[in-house]
Amino acid sequence: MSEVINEQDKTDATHHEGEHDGHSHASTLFYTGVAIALAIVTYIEWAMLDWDLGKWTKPGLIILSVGKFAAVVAYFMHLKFDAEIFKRTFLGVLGLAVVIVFVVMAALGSLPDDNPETGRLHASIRNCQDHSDCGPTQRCRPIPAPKTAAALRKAKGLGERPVFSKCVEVPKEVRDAEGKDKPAREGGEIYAAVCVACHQKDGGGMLGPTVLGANLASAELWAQGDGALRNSIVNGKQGKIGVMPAQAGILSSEEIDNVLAYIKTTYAPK
Amino acid sequence: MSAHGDLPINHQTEGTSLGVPTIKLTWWTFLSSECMFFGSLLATYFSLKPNRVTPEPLPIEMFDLDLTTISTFVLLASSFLMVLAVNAAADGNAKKTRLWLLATAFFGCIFIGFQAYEFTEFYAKGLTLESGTFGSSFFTLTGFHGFHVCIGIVWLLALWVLSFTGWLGPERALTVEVCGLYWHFVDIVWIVIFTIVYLVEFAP
Repeated sequence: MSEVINEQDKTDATHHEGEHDGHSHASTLFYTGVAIALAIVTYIEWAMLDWDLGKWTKPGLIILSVGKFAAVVAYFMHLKFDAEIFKRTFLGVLGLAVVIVFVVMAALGSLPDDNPETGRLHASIRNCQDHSDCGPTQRCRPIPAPKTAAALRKAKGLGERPVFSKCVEVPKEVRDAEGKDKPAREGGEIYAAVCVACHQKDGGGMLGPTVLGANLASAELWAQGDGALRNSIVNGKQGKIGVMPAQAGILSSEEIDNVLAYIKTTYAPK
Repeated sequence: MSAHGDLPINHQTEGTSLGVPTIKLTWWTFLSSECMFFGSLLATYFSLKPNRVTPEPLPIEMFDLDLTTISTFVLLASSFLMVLAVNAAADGNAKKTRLWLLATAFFGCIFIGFQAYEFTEFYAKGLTLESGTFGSSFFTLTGFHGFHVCIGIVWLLALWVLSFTGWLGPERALTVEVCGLYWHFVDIVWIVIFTIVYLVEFAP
């Protein structure tokens, strides 16, 4: 390939004289090499989203893109071997255009910014963590995995949390329904931490030498009424064999309400 | 500049006082102004995209990177075919010039096909010129690029048709070269758009 370039250098002089002799172009082989290199770099750009390069991904992509840009301008557009005036005209204005793009973006405050306080890209567009990141009529919702193999694999690597989420407008009925579910949802977390050891995941309870976890699905239990059940949770209860420990002082009143809401919606016979 | 006098009189190859063909200088100047044009569209896109005053889909929900990467390969390949056409024209090989011009136009059409498919998909998913700032700035930017590709296809096909009339002789090699400059420019604009509009959107 270097031979080709040397050959170009020789013909360069004739270009400066304004002569277009038709033999100043590099060989087909050389251009094929450039084309293959461009294709490989494009493939790398696509594939590198899948590599764990973290914050170096963006600079890497931009460097590769600039390289491709330069290769097409220098070789395909022949600027490297062409008259000086073309280089000055094109590269001069190109440089000016790049500066103007940055000036306009800086003036409008739209340059990328990693600071979550000021980085509008982060704050307003993507990756809300929960509803508190969103407006009063919005909810944070996961975005279906982007349609790229790379992003899908990345999503798997990050576990259950979706890679991308966003704030979406949600109708009032849906928000109200979510509000109703809230105590039961929070109660479920408490149940999983506090109650599950005796009452079990299915609420069926546990019979043991010293402990009896009541069967939360039994009709008898629910026949007592919500008030009596709440009382059992707050003050504890002496069972036939085991003891239900009092939760007063361990769980707040609201948390006890939530647990009751959870076991009622989950285990109570319908 | 002394070589100037040895050339046959031809409006295309006639040098300016700068010692270069007028038509090439004209086109390099035009392409430079195009840098400003696309630069302003890119700045507009990046300034407007985050301003979500209306609910509209996000770029990451819309973009299909696998598809766009394939269409990028197609446009790069068309640039390579254009180089072959320019080379053939410089060698005075009318038959090959004709072949490569048609092949370049064909690949350009495939690229436009991909873009038409992409735009149709986006519209179906609710991203339109009116859906919000992302939609309007995205379609303006990529739409103008697609428009440039279409102009290039018409130019290539015109040269291809003219080649049958004997108009595209060896003395018109510069015409093919200038068409090539335009086509490669359209390619480099896409190289920039593909990276900073599409790929960077998916980067952490």
